[in-house]
Amino acid sequence: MNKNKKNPFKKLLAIRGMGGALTAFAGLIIIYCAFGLINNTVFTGQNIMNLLRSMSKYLLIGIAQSFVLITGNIDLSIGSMAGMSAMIAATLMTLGVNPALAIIITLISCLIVGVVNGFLVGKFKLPPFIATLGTMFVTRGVAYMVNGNRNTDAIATGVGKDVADKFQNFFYYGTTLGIYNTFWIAIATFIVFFFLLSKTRTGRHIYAIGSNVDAAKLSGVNVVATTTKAYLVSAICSCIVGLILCAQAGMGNMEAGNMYEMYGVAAGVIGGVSPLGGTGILLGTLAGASVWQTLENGLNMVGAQVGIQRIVIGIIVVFAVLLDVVIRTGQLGKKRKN
Amino acid sequence: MRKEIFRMERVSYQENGIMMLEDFNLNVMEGEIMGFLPVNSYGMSAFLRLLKTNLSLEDGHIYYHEELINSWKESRRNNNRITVIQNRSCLVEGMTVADNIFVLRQGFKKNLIQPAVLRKQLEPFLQDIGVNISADAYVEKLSAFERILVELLKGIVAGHRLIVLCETSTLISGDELRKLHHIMHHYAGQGYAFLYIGSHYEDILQICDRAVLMSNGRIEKVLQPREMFAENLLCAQEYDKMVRGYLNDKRNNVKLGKQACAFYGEIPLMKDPLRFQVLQGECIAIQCLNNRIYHDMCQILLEEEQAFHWHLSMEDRGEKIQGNRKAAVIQEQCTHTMLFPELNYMDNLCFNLDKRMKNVWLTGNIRKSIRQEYGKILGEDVFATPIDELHERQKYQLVYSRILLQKPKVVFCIQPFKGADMQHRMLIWELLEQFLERGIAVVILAVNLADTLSLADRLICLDKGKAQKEYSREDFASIPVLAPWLYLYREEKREKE
Repeated sequence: MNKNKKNPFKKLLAIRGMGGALTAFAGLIIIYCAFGLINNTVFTGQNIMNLLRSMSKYLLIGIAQSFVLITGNIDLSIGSMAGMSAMIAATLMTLGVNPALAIIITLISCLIVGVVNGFLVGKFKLPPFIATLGTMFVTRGVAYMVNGNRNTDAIATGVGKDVADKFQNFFYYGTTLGIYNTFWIAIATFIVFFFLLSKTRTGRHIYAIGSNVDAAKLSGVNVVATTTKAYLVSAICSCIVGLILCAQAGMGNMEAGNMYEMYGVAAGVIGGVSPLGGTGILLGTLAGASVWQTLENGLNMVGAQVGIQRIVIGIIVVFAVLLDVVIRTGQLGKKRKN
Repeated sequence: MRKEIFRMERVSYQENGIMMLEDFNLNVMEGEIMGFLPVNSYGMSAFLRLLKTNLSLEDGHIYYHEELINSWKESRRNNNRITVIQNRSCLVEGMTVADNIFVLRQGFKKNLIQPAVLRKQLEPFLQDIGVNISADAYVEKLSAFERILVELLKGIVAGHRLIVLCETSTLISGDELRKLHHIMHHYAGQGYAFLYIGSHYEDILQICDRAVLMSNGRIEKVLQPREMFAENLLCAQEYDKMVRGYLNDKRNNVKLGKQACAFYGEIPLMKDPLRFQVLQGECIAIQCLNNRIYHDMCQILLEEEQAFHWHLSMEDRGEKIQGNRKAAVIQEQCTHTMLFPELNYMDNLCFNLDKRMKNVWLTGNIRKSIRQEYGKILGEDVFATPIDELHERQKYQLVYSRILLQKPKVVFCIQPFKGADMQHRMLIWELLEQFLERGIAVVILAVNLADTLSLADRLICLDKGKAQKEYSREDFASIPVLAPWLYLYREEKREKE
C-alpha cells in the first residue's frame, strides 16, 4: 500500500513549497495570538478589516516578486513601477481622462516595463539585479516627470467628485460583503496567479527555469518567453498596487511604492519562496504577507517604535532565508549540491 | 627493487556515518601505471577525496613515498602531494598556462613575476613530451587535451610522484588518448607513478601494468600483469554477453523504418558540409576528432547556434531542435544536467508531455495513469523520493523515461556514457536500446567512441580540414583505431573469412 495514503500530513508536506507556507501560517497564528493577548484590540472586527486591507498591498507585491524569485531572478523595479502606475493614473485623471481609460493606459505602461525587464534578463542575459536596478531608476524617473516633477492634484479636480469617489471606493474605501474591496482585488489576483503557477504549463516552466535553466532549455522551454511572462505578472501586480495607492491618497505621489520591492522579497521569502529559485508557492506568499502585516499592525498596537518594528521584521526575514538554506543543504554553512 | 609510491592498507573510511571504503588495499609502485576500474561508483568520490586530503580514517594506514601520511590513529587533514586530474579543471581561469604551472604552486616565493623567465622554464617540459602549448595562453582557452597536459605538467613541476587520471578517456579523442598514453609511459619511465581510473576496461587492459577492480567501496580483485585479459573481469563478461546477444539479433532481424530526420551543417573547420540521414530505429554515432568541431556540434544541439548555416528536416520540413517535441536532446552527464531538483518526480517525468497532452498539469487523472503505468517499471518508491535523494540508476531511468514519454522521432545524445561506471553503462545501453526498439532514431555525439560502437549502425567521423568519413556496421572491423567493442566486429569478420 502506498505510504502517502497512510499519512495525509506527509502527503501535504510533499507538495512543493508547502513546508515553508505551513511554517509561515503557524508563525502567523502564533504572532497574531501573542499580540492579541497583549492588546485585545487586535482581535476587534475593525482591526481585522484594516489588517486585511493593508495586507492586500503586500500580498500583491509579494505575488509580483514571488513569480520572479521562483524563476531564480529578482525584480527591483516593482516599487518604482507601482509609483509610476500611481502617478500616470492620477495625472491622466486630473486631466479629465476617464478612469477606465486611465487604468488601461497605466497597465500598458507597466506591461512595457515588464517586457523590457524580461528581455533584458532573458534575452540579453543581463544580471537581473542590474537590469531591474536600471528600470527601477527609469520608472521612478517617469513617475517624477509625468506630472512635471511634482505630485498631482486630487483626482477629483479632473474627473469630478462622483467619478473620483467611485474610483477610490472600487480600489480602496468601498466594501463588498463587509470586507474592503482592496482585499477582494488582491484575493482575485491571487487566485488567478495561483492557478497559473500551479495548474498550467507556464507555471511548470517558471519552476523549471528556476530549478535548472539548462535542463529547461533542453526540454523545449522558451526561457526568454517564460522569464518575460514572470516579469509581466510582476508588472500587472505592481500596476494594481499603484492604482490602490492612487485611490488611497486620492492623488498621485511621486514617492509612492518606495521600497515596496523589498517588501515583496520579504513577503515571498517569509512564506518559503526561495531566493535561489525553483521553490515556493503563492500560498506561502499569502502567509508571508500576512505575517509581515500582522507584525507591523501588532507592534503598532503595542506601541513599539518604528525602529523596533523594522528590526523585528529584518530579523524575521533573515531567519526565514536561513531556514531556507538549512532546509536545502541539510546544515548550516554547507555548500549547495550541484 | 622498485620503490613503493603509494599504499593504502586496510583502510576503512566513513562519511556521515556511512561506510564509503571498507578494508581497502591498494599499492602503486614507482614507474607503474596502475589501472583502476570501478564496477559501480559507490565510494569513488570518497576515494578521490582521500587521495587529495588526509581525512580521518576508521581504520588502516596510508603511505606515500614509503612514509606514513594518514592513519586511523592520527589524521593531519593536510593535502597530499598527489595530482588528481578529473573532468573538472583545477586550473585557475583568467591566468596563463605558465602562471598556473609555476606561480600557483607550493614553494613559489618570487614576488616579481617575469613572464619571459616562466616561458623559458616551461619550454624544456613541453619539448620533453613533444607538445606545443603557448605558455601565455589563458587556461580557459585550452582544449580538453591541452588542459589535461597542463595539469599533468603542473603535477610534474610540483614534484608529485603520483598522478591520478580520472575518466580522461571520455574527455579526449582517440588520437589524443594515444598521445596521452605515450606521455604517461614517458613519465613512468622516469619513475612517476600513475593511477588510471576509467570505466572502460579496454583502455586499462591496453596501457596499464596492473589493474584493480573496485565494487561497493571495496577492492574486489587485483589483476596482475599476466592476468590482464577481459576474461578475468566478470562484470565485463556480463556486458559482453548482452551486447553480443543484441548484435546477433540485429544481424538476423534488421528493423529500420523510414527516414526520421536529415541533417545538413556547414561546420566551419570541416572541408565539406556535414550531411546525414537517420532512419527510424537506427543509431548513428558521430565522432568528433577535433574539439572545435565537437564544440560546434554541441552549440547546434544545445544553443541552436546561428553563426553558421545548418538545417534539420523531418518529413521534408525544416525543424528546430529546441522546443521541438519531435526531437530530444540528452545532455552529457544527464543525471546532473537534465533534472529539476526542486520539482517532484512526477513533474520531472511528465515535463515534456505538455505538448502531447495539453491538460497534463490541469487534471490529475493523466498523471495518475502515467504513475500507474510507470510505477511498475520504475518502482513505486521513487514517486515519493526527492530528486536529490534518488540513486544514480533511478536518475538515469527518470531522464530516459521522460524522453520515452515525449515520443520524439529522433534523440540526440551527447556523450551518453560519460562519467558512468560499469553498471550504469550497461543501464544506459539498455535504455538507448529501448529507444531503438520503439523506432526512435538515436544520434550519439561523442569525442571518444566509448560504448557507442556496440549500438551504432553507422559511424561518422569528423575531423579538421577533412570531409566526413562514414563507416557502416559491416566496415566497423576496418576502423583504424582501437575502440571498445571493436573486437566483436573483428571476430565476426574473421569468422566470415
